[in-house]
Amino acid sequence: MEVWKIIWIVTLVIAFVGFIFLSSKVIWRGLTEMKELLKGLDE
Amino acid sequence: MKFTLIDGVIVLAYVTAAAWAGLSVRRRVHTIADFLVAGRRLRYHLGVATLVATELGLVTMMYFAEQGFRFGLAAFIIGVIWAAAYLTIGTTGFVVDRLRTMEIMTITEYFARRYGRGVRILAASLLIIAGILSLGVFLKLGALFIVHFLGIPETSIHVTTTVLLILVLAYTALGGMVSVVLTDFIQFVFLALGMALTTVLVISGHGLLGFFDQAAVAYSAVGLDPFDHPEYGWWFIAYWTVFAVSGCVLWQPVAQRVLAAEHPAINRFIFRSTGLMFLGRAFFPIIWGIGAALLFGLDSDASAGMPRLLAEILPAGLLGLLTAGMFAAMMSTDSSYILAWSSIIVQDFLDPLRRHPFTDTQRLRATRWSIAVIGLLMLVFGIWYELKDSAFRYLLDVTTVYYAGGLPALVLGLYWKRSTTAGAYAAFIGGGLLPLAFVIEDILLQAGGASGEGFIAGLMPPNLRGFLSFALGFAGLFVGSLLSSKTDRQTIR
Repeated sequence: MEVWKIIWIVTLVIAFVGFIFLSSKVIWRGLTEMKELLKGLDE
Repeated sequence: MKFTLIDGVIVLAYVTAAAWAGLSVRRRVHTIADFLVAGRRLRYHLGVATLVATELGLVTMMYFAEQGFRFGLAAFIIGVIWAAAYLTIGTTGFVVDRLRTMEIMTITEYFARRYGRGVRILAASLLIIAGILSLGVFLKLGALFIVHFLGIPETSIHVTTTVLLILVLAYTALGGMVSVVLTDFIQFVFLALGMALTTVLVISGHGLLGFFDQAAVAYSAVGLDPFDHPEYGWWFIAYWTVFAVSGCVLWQPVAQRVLAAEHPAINRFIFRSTGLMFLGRAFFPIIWGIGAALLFGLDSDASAGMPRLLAEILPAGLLGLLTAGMFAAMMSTDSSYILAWSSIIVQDFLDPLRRHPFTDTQRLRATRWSIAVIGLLMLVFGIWYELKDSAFRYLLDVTTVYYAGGLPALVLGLYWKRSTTAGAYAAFIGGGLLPLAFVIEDILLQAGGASGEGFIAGLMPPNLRGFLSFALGFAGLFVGSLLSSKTDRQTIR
């Protein structure tokens, strides 16, 4: 039981840190890509 | 219910921004490729945002929370396997690299090229059945969430859901994939913020270790171990693994993003990044579900637990942010799914049946009509159908109808030169047989007012049934291909 508890805590921490890191990156750079996409469709 | 003016302003700001953004891109859409795959101009981070927003629907959060509430931490295995499937495909480029280079718009188009028109129509029919039956419960779960989260009477929820659906249908029909991508991005921002903050809040009441300790006590040892859990176990893990791979390569809303990417390297990046984010996609709502079970007790209503918990613990402001996030989740998923299935109906079902193919204008008009019809079906089915088991289990069953034959036909079609048209037919028929029989029987039983278990449901446990369906799909493709290629060779001689 303890082993599973440790496994799930570690996985949850990885999931949380990964989620925060990637979300910030996606929001920041996605905005520029969105502008480029709309510009490309206009051309 | 502590819904304040600030919360109301946040929700209103979100709905207005998303609707305006979605509707404003209409003039930029000129061709069917612009409409269905955003002119194939989707790049790295936007691709991740749109894929996560699409696959992170309100329905997803509801069924994951229900799994967490009922089965405890063992439910994490669903997220781990799903993430592993995405990461593996992102690292290896398995299937997606070859698909993107083919310049197609739907997966069923691949079936047409590889196996012919008949297989395409059969695959499209199974995909339409799987998609429409899945969409049917989306509105129901969305309504369930809003009723318990906002504490409003059930009579007004049908009106709210209908208004939201009309809004989604309008901007999907007008702007297609460009609208979907744009609104997905706005929705991603609300969702990411709302989900991360809510998870911290749910756990912080107990402390990280305290939360896991209490969960271990409430669900006992079996609630932590997915291999030993009666709901999961080895058959589930085997079934869910092939199902998750199918979800990455066959599910039209995911495939549509694969096919919309600027080049194959972007697909790999999208899958790798999405894989890690999908751990959170499963884990966070499962944590909310467990939190609800700890607060209200394991014997309370599992599907209502998560919205009740959030309404109870979230402070003003965050409540509005999460409501906007949940509306966002509902709208982004519904719009993407509706677009995906309307494109299947027109491209892969109606068009191949016609003597003369659709012109671009006719195709666009037919796609918009399909969107309206799907919306209507969602509303009717969503109000009428009652779920017998968990929502997750229902969605597994209906989607296996298409996946069980689709996976062997796609993978072996790409990587095994000897796969034939007869083999593809055998894969779709063999794979779809059991799950389709189960789903039809279930709907007929409900239409007839019966409440007990049907004949197919009683034959074997659901995880074994699911895995066996995939096995039959693969066996069908191998046997059908070997027999037909042998016949072909004899004919040539």
